[in-house]
Amino acid sequence: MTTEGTYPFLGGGVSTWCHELTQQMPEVDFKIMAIVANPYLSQQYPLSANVTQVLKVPLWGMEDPIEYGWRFPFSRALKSKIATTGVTISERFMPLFEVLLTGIISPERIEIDALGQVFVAIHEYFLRYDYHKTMTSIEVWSGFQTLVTTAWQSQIKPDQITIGEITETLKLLYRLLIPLHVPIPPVDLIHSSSASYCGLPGVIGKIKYGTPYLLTEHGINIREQYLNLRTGISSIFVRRFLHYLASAVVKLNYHFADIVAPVCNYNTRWEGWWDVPPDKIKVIYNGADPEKFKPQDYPANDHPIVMNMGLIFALKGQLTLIEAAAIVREQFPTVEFRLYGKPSDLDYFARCQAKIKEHQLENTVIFAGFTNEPWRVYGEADIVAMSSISEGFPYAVIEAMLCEAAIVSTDVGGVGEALGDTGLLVPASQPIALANAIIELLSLTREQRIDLGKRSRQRGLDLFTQNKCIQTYLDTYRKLIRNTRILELKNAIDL
Amino acid sequence: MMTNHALQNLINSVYTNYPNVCDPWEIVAIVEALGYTDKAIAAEFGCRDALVLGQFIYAQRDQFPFIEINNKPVEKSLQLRDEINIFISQFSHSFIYTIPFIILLILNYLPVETKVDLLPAELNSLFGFVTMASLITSSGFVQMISRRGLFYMGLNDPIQANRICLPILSMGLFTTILLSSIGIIFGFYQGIAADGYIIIAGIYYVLLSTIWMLFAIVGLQYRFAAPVILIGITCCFFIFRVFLRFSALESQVLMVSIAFISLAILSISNRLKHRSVKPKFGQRVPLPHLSILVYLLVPYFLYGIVYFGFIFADRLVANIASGGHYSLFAGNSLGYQDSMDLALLDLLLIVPLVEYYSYKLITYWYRRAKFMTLAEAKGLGWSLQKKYWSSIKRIFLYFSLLATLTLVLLSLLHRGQTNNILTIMACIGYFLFAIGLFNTVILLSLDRLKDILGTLATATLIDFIVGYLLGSVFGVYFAVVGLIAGSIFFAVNSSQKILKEIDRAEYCYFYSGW
Repeated sequence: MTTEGTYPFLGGGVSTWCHELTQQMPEVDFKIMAIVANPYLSQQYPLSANVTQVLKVPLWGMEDPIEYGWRFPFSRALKSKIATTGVTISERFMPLFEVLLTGIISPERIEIDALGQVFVAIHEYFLRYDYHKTMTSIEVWSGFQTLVTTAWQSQIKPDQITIGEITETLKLLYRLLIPLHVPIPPVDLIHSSSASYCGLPGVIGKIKYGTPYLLTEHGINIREQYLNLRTGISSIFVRRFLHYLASAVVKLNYHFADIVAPVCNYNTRWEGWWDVPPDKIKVIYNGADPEKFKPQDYPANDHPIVMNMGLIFALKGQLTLIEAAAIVREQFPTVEFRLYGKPSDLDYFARCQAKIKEHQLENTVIFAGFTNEPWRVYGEADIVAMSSISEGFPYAVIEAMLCEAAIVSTDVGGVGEALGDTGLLVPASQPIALANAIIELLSLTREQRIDLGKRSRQRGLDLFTQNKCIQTYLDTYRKLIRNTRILELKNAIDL
Repeated sequence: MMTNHALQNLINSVYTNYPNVCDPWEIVAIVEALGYTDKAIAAEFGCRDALVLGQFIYAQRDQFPFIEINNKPVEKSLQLRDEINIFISQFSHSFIYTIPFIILLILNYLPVETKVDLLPAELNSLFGFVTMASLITSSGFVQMISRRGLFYMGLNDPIQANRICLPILSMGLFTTILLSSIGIIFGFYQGIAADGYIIIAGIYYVLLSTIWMLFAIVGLQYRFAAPVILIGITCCFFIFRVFLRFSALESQVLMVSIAFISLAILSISNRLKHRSVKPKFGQRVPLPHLSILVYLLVPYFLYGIVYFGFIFADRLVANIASGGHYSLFAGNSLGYQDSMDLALLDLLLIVPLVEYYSYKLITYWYRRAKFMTLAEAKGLGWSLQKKYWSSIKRIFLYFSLLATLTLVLLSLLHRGQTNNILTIMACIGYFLFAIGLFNTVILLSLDRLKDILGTLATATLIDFIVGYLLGSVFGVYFAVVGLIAGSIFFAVNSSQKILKEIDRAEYCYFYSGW
């Protein structure tokens, strides 16, 4: 299983999914390849006995990937450094690198199968030669600047691209391609949790070893990339290059995956737009444990409580919720908004705090931090309000449903599919609409809200239980492995 | 199709609130993030889905020209006040370390009567040698600690910075104790001094080496710790020497002891403050493989050793050459020592200036490279060359002025056994070394330290060999020729390397700062 910025080093919905999958499938042994921002993150989950290996692949936070690399003992790292000379780079790496860049920048010029082969060839190169020495060589720098300054973008004038922008782009490419230099352990199946850089081992495994590749999409990675890159990168040139790179990686993932398994039907729209054949798509809904997430028998609150659950960062849209809180307070002066979750983007968190100050909501909106007892929190709240601007199929929603919560949420991703008619949906990023929906639910009697909650739980029990989810994945694993074995046998007989 | 008012508002809103969108998919993502579902899009704009809408909005791209993001720095951005601030910051950073040496030197020249004289003079020469040896052997570890520690501090991770220092300090202590033991056995074998004094010198060597390494560790977490301790112990020395009338040697031993105790206390409190906690699940975050860490830090280790090796090479060979016996190891040629000390003082005073000019050159290099296009990069090489030679001229000017002032000032005091010609020769040698140092600091900033190590090592060898041969054949004072020969090689070769890097200025900008 491959992950990116999630399990087992960070919390969140994808990590919950990975954890449940590994915990609830004792018949499957897992090796986890986790792509992480830096090597200093500590494990956030206890691993079950069937997780036989965790391979951490940090992208930042080191001067050279060999610091935490797989080449050990030291003699192996040294040999690869010595073997990497200017001649090696010029003759063996640069031809591949040039095709790779062409495939990224001018996708119409390279077939996707050929691009996949180039990724494999580069991976094989890095199994033998040193990554850092190659990627920081003058050969790579010269080749890169020549290729990226040719007129490949109508929006950008090549003669106006600065050295700073080229440097930033190549440095980002260096970091993002680090997963390519890691050997892929021998496994029966590769399961990626995202159609992103963590899917590259799946692509390589598929092409090189014929290993079946299952791709799960929680959110739409490419969509989130487009939104995220806007906030972090001001240079149009750098952003455009990263768009192209992300597109190439996503296309490779979609093309080489045996099954693309989005967590909701909503995601299939984007996958269809990106030319994934419908027969390759299989929706597998997330599921939660109804024994753990069940109604709590709490007395009625003396003031209305609205709660929100999720990491605090832009995609979760807490700023919208805070603005909505200001409107709700006008009608319900004693209302309390409790926002549970760790701030994963400190700048965004600071903006949230500034917004609270701006609307003088210090006594209304409370950041309650992380909780490891979410069922209790759902049970305490009168309303669960979700404000994301992008989602896959959020655990927070199905867990809240199983806890019989009255839910209002932005209509993003698979939230609408999850809730059906058992909760209220509003457009994303529209505080007034969100506030009105919250007011509507708060205006109901407690019994009416409980009734709505009961319908939510019943829908959850029918469609989104953990057992159902796990069994579907297990069946898919078996089917993919069986098909591959049959194919291998057929090939052997033909030979 | 799609020409209604709401659509025009949406188009305006997208291009106004999300300037410089450059991809139709980006617009599709933005439209969805604005809360538009396919159902809402069909109802409001009459088109199938977000993709069609996004593509339509993108087709209007030409109506909304890209907004220039002006990242270019204002050319005259550095005001005189900023310049002074940078100068003070860079200058004080290095100058603080020369204060103890300056005070020691001045007190050496002042006629202070000694009342308390418990330690024998024989130890003086041994301690002099041991000080040089400790600087040479420990500075490799000091460089390793600083380099890696600063890397983690740059990542805002003081716990990791703290953890990484421990294995390096352990390696340093092990090496120091090993070298001290070998030195003691060698001392016994050659009969360099009385057995008891050799053991004291060995312990003093370990103590001093530990102090240099602790300075590096404590300096990572407490920026002002090193300057405060240095100024503090210098004041203590002054009090011991001038008011309590202790001998220079005893004052020095007390000064070192106070420094050691202060650093030990700070180190322990630092470890307690930044100790790593075992995570709830799994193992503690591992440090990088030690073997690989050492491999990556070897250039810095060698730089530290060779740097001080070069500075003290002529003194060591002068003493060996003058006596032809190891018993004269420890600085019997006091005339040579005193004359060299004056020149060394000039070097120590010019080092902060060298660092300031190298900082300015690198800042200029980075600022210009970042905002210029490839076509303009050729001009960058030319302007960097101009700036480089102008810095060299200034360093020469200031060094000459400083050397003249020092000579005049100290000629007014008691000159002891100093020799004017030797001091002038040494000044020439140290000036050339300062040029090499200027180049080295630039290469260090460009992460090209490996390129200069061979040059510095060869220069040190030339210093040793030429100094020893000439010192043995023509007399001890000729050891200074080794310093000059080595410095010429160092200055010329390192300058060539800098000019080569300037030729590919844009690649250097990319290569540095990983």
